[in-house]
Amino acid sequence: LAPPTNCIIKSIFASLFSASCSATVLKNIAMPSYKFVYFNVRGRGELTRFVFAQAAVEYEDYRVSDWAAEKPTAPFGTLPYLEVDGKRVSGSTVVARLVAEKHGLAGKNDVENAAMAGVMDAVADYHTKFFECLFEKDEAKKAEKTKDLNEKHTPLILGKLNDMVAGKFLYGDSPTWVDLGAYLVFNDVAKDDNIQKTYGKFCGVLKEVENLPNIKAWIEKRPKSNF
Amino acid sequence: MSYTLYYFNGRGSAEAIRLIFAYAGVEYKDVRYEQEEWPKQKPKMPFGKMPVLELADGKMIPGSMVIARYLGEKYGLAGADAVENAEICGIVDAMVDLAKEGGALFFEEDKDRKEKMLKKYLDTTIPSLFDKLNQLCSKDGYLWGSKLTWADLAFHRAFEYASAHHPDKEAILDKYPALKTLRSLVEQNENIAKWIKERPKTKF
Repeated sequence: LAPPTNCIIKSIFASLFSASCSATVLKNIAMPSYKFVYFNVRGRGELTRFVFAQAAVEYEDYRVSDWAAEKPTAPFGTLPYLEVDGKRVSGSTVVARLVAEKHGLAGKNDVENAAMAGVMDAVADYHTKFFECLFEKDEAKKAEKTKDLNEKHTPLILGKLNDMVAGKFLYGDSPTWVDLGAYLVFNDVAKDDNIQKTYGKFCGVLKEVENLPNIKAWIEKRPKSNF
Repeated sequence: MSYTLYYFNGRGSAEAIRLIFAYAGVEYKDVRYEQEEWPKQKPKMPFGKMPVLELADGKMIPGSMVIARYLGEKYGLAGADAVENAEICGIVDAMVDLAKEGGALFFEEDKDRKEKMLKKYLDTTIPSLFDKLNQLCSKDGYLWGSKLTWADLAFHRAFEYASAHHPDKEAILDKYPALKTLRSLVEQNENIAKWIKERPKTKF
């Protein structure tokens, strides 16, 4: 090639090469180092693992085996917590929210993020009521709680979530951490025929979550546990 | 007014929010529903619960900790980035169990259950939390970093939950000197002192 063109081509390649090097260096500087600490179960940890999976963000999925030994070093003696760049964040929802907001699975601003967190708060509240009912030992109280759940709490929250559906997912055509959280809480409940009929749009969202390639891949490869 | 806060006529899970508003000197409409009005108002709330914060544009945010965090971060009572804000929120998250148990104790009617719950509350729940919080606070006098954040105001609320069921309110913090100092610091703030003096006196 004639010298001027050759020079131009060389300099284009040179600048592309250094641009991609800078991008890699910047990426390595910009990407935090995450260690997510929880038990070897899905439980309260699975939402954060779902968020990491969907966002395709690398992290150490640390599963505690000797809790007695590790408990004194956990920030509040509880799990999960997240170690990020030397800092430690406690609380399953707090951690899931942090990762979601940092990696494109939340809103566009503080108001949207707060609104999403508010919905997740209601979903978590429902989840607590569900387990309180499940684990209630007193027969009379259990019957009362089951009635309340089936007649009041379940229809209320499913109705609200169903009304919210704004596309393939709750907030439009892209998933957020709220869709992932709703999937983890409601996936089994939603298999019921009546629920499918009454809250069709919301059940559709849960199917979309299940079909997300990153989520599918995670569900397939994740360690198996009873809960 | 930009903000409306909806809750029952009590401190409960809304009071940390009111402390943040007071401290930051931000005006808001403090709507309080009595139990009889609640069934009529319930459908207006996003998920049938309170507290709810209504913004200027009508958007309604539910979740007491979500609201407190939103206001804390908006009014300079938080950190400098997402990770710091999450650290602070994690500290408040650790206080939730104490608040929940305190609330459950208040409403428990069965004497035997209440006695068992109270024992757990006094012997385990309060000490294990206050121990950890005291450690955090011992470094710089605040729960996080070296300045007051919304976590410190949330702590004041947690202290009130603990003292509501404790036989000797003033002695609870004797074992936790850093927290004792923090409690005074919060109460001596001019805005907080004014609010505590003037707020409606309620059962919970």
